[in-house]
Amino acid sequence: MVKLTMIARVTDGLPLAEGLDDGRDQKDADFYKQQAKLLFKNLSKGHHEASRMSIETGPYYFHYIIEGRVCYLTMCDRSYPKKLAFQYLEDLKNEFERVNGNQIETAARPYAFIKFDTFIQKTKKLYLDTRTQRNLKKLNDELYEVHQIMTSNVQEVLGVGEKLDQVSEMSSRLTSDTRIYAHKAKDLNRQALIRKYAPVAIVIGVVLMLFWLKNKIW
Amino acid sequence: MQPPMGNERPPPPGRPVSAFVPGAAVPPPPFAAGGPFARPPQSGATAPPFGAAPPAAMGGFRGPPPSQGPFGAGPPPQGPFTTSAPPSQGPFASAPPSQGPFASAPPSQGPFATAPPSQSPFTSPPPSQGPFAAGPPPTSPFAATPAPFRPPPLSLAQPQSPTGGALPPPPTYARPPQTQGYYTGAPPANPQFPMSRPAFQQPVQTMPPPPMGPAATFGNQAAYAGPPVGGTLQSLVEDFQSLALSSAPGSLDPGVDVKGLPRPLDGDEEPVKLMEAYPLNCHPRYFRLTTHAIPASQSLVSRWHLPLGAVVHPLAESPDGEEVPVINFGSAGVIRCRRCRTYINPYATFADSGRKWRCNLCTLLNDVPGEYFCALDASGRRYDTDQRPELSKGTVEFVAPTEYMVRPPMPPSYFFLIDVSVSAVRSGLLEVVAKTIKSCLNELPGFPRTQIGFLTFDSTLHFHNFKSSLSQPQMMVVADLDDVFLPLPDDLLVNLVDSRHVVESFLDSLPNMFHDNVNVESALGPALKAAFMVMSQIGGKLLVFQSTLPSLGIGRLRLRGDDVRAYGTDKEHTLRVPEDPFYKQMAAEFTKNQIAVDIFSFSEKYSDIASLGSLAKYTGGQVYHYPSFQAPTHGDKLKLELNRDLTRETAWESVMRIRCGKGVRFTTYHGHFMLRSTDLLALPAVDSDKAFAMQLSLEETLMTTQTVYFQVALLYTSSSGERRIRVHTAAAPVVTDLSEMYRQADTGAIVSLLGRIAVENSLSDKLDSVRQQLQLKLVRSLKEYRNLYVVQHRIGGRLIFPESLRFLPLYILAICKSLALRGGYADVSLDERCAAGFSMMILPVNRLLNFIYPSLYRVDEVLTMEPNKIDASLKRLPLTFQCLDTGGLYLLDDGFTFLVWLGRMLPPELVNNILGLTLAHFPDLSKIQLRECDNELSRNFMKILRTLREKDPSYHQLCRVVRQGEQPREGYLLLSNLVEDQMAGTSSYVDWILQIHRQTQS
Repeated sequence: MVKLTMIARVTDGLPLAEGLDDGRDQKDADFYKQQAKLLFKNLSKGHHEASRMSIETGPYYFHYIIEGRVCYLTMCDRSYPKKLAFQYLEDLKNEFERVNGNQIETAARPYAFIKFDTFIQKTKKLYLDTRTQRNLKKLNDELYEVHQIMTSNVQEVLGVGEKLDQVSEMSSRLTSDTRIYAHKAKDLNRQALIRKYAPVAIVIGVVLMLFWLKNKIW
Repeated sequence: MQPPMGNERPPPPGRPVSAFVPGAAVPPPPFAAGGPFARPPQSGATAPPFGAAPPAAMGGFRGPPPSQGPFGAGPPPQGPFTTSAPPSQGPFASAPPSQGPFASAPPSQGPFATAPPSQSPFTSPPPSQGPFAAGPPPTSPFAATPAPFRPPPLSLAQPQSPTGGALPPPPTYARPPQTQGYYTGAPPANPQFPMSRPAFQQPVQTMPPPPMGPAATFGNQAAYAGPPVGGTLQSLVEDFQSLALSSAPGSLDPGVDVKGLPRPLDGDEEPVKLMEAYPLNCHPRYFRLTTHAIPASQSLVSRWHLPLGAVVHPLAESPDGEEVPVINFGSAGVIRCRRCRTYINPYATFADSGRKWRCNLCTLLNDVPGEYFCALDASGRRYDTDQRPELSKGTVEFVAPTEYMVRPPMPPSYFFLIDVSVSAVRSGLLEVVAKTIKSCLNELPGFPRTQIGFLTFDSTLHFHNFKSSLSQPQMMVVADLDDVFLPLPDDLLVNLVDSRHVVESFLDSLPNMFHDNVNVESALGPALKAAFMVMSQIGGKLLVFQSTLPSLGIGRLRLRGDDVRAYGTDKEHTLRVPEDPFYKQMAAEFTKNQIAVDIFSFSEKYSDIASLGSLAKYTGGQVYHYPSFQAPTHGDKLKLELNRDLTRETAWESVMRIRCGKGVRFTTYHGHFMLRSTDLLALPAVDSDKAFAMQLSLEETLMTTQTVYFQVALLYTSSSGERRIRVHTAAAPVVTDLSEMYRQADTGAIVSLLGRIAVENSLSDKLDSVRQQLQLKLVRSLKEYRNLYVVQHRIGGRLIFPESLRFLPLYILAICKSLALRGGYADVSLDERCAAGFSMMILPVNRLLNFIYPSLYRVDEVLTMEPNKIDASLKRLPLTFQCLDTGGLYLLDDGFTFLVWLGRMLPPELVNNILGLTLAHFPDLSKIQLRECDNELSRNFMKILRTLREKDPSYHQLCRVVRQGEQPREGYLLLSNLVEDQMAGTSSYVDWILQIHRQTQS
């Protein structure tokens, strides 16, 4: 059963529409909504993921598809057939593109297409029961290569970004440290050179000076 | 231009004087802070010495014997005067101190050159006259004088103030601004030097160079002796008005010209003048301060006895062409101060060549986001100021980004809770409601997302399933009132577009469905709980149609309204507060889930509006009361008001906060809302018919800033699903002078705030003491004002009041006589009283003023005119029985009802034409309905009603007809609304003024 539906722009994570009264009799809805928003943010950072993906979180799955710079995301029970969930998202996508397709790029305010929620609502109802004729037929269709869709854990997904950040940070620290090391080494080298030859040079200098003085006086 | 000039020259001689009379130089605190120099902005540092100076100067006059009064200009008296003159004079005149004050002044007196003539009466003569000639009661001469509307005895005054012109000539004297600081300087000393002071203060005032020679002075004196008041008032230009009142209280002829009393026949005066002084402020229709001058010190606040605060009407309808600009900052985000969260506004200043901006409320320097950067011109103004409404307009709307949303914008939803018990069926209520809702379906805001749902109840709850696939709605009855549950998980609140046909067929069948219902019970409490369960996810608006006292389940109420014995005792107020805490708890739950409740009450008998109304009170709703509802008579009113309620533009899920600059703080709020934290008003729904009032207090004892800024921010979801922030910004000057506060006072706002405070007090106190408190406030403030002026002008026998507050006494009288506060048990039924109280808490200023002081028009004379001239020739009349001519047809409009009064001598044809029936055959006028008949008179009459209704669309005025002498209806409907007349236990306007006058004098 579909618990949550959100549509957002991938480029900047701006929410465009959201299913209405999602989260009824569900106390942790806010938590998962927050997670979904984080997910959008991650996507907008450009860690480009597969355009279809399922992510497990707690007792639920997030399913999303990215198409035309718009991410359609839904949250379902674990037991809900993946195939139906993606079929549902596909339906949303087709309608959304048909209705708002040309305004997606220009939308400036959050939830600019909130009116779409009535369609979400209607479609959701069609998918509520997995055992209706219509849904069973869909399940049996082999149109979608659903089993190829990757599944990962939300912690990983949300964590990936962080880890990558850490790695790049560490490597950049490493390069800068090396540079400093090289610089310092050069410096030390020079100092060692000076320490080695300075006394000799001074002695020679003094001797030459004495010679020069001797020539002058005499 | 003059005051600064004077202020730049602090006259050193001032100091010696104060030293010389140490005893007198104890300036009372208000004084030191206030001082005579009303406009300190430029003179900052020099102000304090001045503040101290005048009292010292006063004291200086203690010494000279009274015989100096006449001002013979003899050498000996001149001595002390010369020395003491400069301090008081300093700020104004460049007059050399050596100048003999009473000698004819050189006409070259710079500062006074602009207004020399008006000064003249203040030269020596008056003082000489007062104490000696007029003797103890300086009032007696005034008693003889007819009243304020007497032509000025001297044509010397030149009213210069903008306010002066608008009024009947003599009482308002426009006074050149530079003098006012001078006069106001003196008064605070008065309490300190009571009786004998006046005579000596006069000389001080006459110090400023008398521009006329001695001869002229004497001439003035002669004139002065004749009609003394006019002469004295000459130079008080602009500051105040006065009323001549008899000095002999109790005499039969009060000596008051009834016609001359000020009456607000033009309705509310918006302080639009302020827009000129502060063009960057938001329009006063959105935000009005009770006085557009913030007192600088606590002591000044304590001397301002009226409430200090504001009336906010955040969604006031703006006229065409003045739509609120909408701004989208896009990726820059809404620009706000980091510390105090103030929104960017026209008063913010830019610094560091445009890279930083300084918050005008907390003076913090903020960074300007890169996207918002713009260079500054030479004067420090951004080049793009004119292109950016948020930098050039006081009222703007920002598009809120995601951070301002707890959840996505919810669709507007309407849930109807309809009582279908026998009384509702019999009165025809169901039919009207069903028809009206059906006719509104197309206009409900928020298409295509709008949600709608219905729940009917009597002793059981009836849920209705509107699933779009059904052809007929399904009704489910839940009889378990103790443990309410929803029979269906959804489809109780449905999308209107999808289920339109089901909803329509439900509304069609609703009246018939319960046609034979004989159930008398009403289980409102459980029904509310059920409605809450249905709506809690989305929020929205809950409309409750209640036609009996809730009698079953939780929240049942008792009959308690008809307890005569409670009146006049300490328990009186308990009748006006909710009896059962259930309603307040429920209201809190509703607000938390963004549900606003509107109560429509129709009961014939007592239905405890006090309890029911608290639902509306804490959820930002509204109470409509239709006592003894009968569909044929009240149907139209209900229809149009319900229509308005459903179709007006509404702001959902809103919160409002008012920020203000350092030093001041809003403390108490009055209106319909729930206070979420100390200063955040939660408003599940708010619209253009609701205003809020709040009181202000000073946090610091002394304000250091020169201007205080206010910012009202309303964050809301529009019906179309956009999240917006509406921001109104206003600035007000800080003043150190009480008279300036009086000058900038706004009667409308004061009355609005006072009315709300009074209604709130009536919930915890007896009506009688509430009225007394109101009167006390009025008296105190006029007394304080009197102390400012009266003594040195010796107008002791007159009631003086600031020009800005000239209607205040009448309005306060009107509040005392308003439906909510009038009389006692027998005068108004408890329900009506409470309903009126709830209305007064939300009405915007102009509608409130019209409610407490209704408009009265004479109609029969204009009916025969051409239709297009009628509007212009309708004149408001004073609300007194004397204005009613027995041969006339009058119309009284208080915003809620129209009352048509038929004079006894009115030609029968006229009546027949208008009413469309013969009066003689129709003894009971209470059931009459006015319809347009096929004749000129009736058409014109209906046109008048229509135009009046169009002026105020928030309520539909029900038209009631009453004949002269038709008791008791006439008394109840009309006479009790004639505010200026004497009614049982209340005073007439004249008595009231006399009463106030006596109390201000004591």
